[in-house]
Amino acid sequence: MFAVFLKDLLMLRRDRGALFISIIVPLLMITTIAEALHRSKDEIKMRVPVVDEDQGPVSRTFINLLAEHAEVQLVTRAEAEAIVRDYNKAAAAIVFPEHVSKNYLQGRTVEILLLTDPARNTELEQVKVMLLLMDNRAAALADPFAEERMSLKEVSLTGNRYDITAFEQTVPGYSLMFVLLAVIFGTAMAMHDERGWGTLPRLLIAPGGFTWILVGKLLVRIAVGFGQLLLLLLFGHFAFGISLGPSPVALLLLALVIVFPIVGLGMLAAGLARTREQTLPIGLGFVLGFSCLGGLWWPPWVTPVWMQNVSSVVFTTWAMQGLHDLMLRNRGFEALPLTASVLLANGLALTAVGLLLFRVRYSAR
Amino acid sequence: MPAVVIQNLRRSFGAREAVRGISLEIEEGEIFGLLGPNGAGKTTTISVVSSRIRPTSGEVWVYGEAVTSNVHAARRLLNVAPQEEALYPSLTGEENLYFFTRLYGVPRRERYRRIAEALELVQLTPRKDDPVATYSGGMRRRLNLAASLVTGPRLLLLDEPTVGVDPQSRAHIFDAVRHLRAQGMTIVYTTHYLEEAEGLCERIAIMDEGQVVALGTLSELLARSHANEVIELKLSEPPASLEAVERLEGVLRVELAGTELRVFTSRAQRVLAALCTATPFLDQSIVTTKVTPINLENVFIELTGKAMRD
Repeated sequence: MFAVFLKDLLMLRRDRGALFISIIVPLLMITTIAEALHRSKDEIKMRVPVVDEDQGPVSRTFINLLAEHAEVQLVTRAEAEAIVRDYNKAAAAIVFPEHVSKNYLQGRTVEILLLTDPARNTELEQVKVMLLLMDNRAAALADPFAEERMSLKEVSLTGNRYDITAFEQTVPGYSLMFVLLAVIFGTAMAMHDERGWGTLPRLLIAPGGFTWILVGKLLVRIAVGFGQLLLLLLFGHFAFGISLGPSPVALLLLALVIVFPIVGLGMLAAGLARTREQTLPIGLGFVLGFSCLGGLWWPPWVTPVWMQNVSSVVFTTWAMQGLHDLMLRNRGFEALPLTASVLLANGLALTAVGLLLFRVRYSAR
Repeated sequence: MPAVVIQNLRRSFGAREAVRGISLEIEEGEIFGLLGPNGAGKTTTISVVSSRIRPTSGEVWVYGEAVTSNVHAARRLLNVAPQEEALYPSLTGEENLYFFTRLYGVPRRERYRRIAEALELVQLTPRKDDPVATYSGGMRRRLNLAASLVTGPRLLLLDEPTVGVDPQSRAHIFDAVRHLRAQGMTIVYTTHYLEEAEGLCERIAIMDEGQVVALGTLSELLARSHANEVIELKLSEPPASLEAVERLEGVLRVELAGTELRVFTSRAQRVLAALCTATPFLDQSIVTTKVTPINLENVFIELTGKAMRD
């Protein structure tokens, strides 16, 4: 037993690259996660666009109270709708219509509009809670025994659905994470397995070109990843009742373009790794990093601004966006062009770099 | 047209020059041996000819196709049975071969015929439906050879095909190679086993330290040695001096390893008689005596100053 222990330890020591990466990757991940979540509750301020059509004392009081707990952004109605519906930068925008102050001070119930993106249900609930609290505080300022005089009218800007379940919030993100795990490791190891089996020299001298042979291997991974993602979403649909959106064909197409950059990432891991052992920490680093930055575990707004900016260029963010557009916002093909283009571009870039690295390392032509 | 033409081939790996300017031609339909110790440059030469790696300088043509510029055309003409087994363990023997026929674009109607022929040649037909992981080492080597044949190459490069193989599988491989030669295939056979080169190859290039030190048929190579026989004596004790033996008429070279004395000569009968009566040998008993013809290892030692397995 001890002889085997020493032998394996010696082999591990010899693979310095794997050892180094096994230490560095977890350190990087811990740092990233800690940085993402370390902010105190006082530092976490949700962005809330506010449209003040009232321009009166009541709306100003509400806005001032709200600003103590949220990052208030005063905008026009059109801007507010764009922020929520088109750019998905906020879960909801608050509109104080005209005459709110007048009606409120005259003791009438006023109606405040909430323009929402129900797909961001968690944040939306927080906005509603904040508004109700503001109402109580505002009323207490005027009359400590006053009743609530504010009602909320919710208008969904991004689809007809208001009832997003917890499963619908979490299943897409976790499905994507498990597909990342399976496909990145599967792709990276499949490349290195050819070395282990001794078949790489045969593939290198086969007519037709080594690059096309590698592409053939990647197509298998795309097929497997596509099947896995669909299976998870279908399971979520039948087991937990999550919606798959109005267009099954659009969802199929989106699933395909989501898997492409994941396979590209696996190819990149294969190209970076010098040994099969190194594919493990490199692949894990990719899975955790892209999950963390892509909003698969927590909504991006809880992370520091710099991380939110980085997230916007990470393909998993776009994958989540696409899934939410189809499944939660009830959109169809019209939601796909930009998302699909970004995912395809990422897929091509990652695959190309990974193929080049792998070729340079193992083909001496 | 020669099957293979190599001109001033050089290949370096960093500071180490593995092949140092070799030039040779291999005729169509012959079994050409590349003989040399480990590290001589045989596998590197094969790798360049097969287009797996580029030469540092020099040119290689396979049936007129330059392997550096017409690489895909050259690849369609050849195949390699690598030194390491190159098979998919979870696939059956037949599935492995089927994959390689598809990889090389063998027409569909030809595939199963070629697979059947290759399996028959290496005598693995009864095991074709078993996963390769269940094969013995010798069987995997034979299938390795079959995988190179199913693509129908005109030039077959065999890189040490019998290393670590049991005698039965070795015999199967030899039979297969002779059969392929009879069908007109050109075969380049690399080995460090002298008896394989002597028994199979029509012409042999002896390589050492990246260079071809001798090239020719077996008899041409043996003729390079001035001796044609070796007298091997096992003595009861090592002799104190070899001077008396070296001075005997007809003795070309003497080697001593412990109590084993080897005398190279072109007149074995006369020298043997002299050895038995020579004065220094009255002090030791001759335990055994053997006279053998000169072989390639003797030629190699004469040319390089070291044994094949040094």
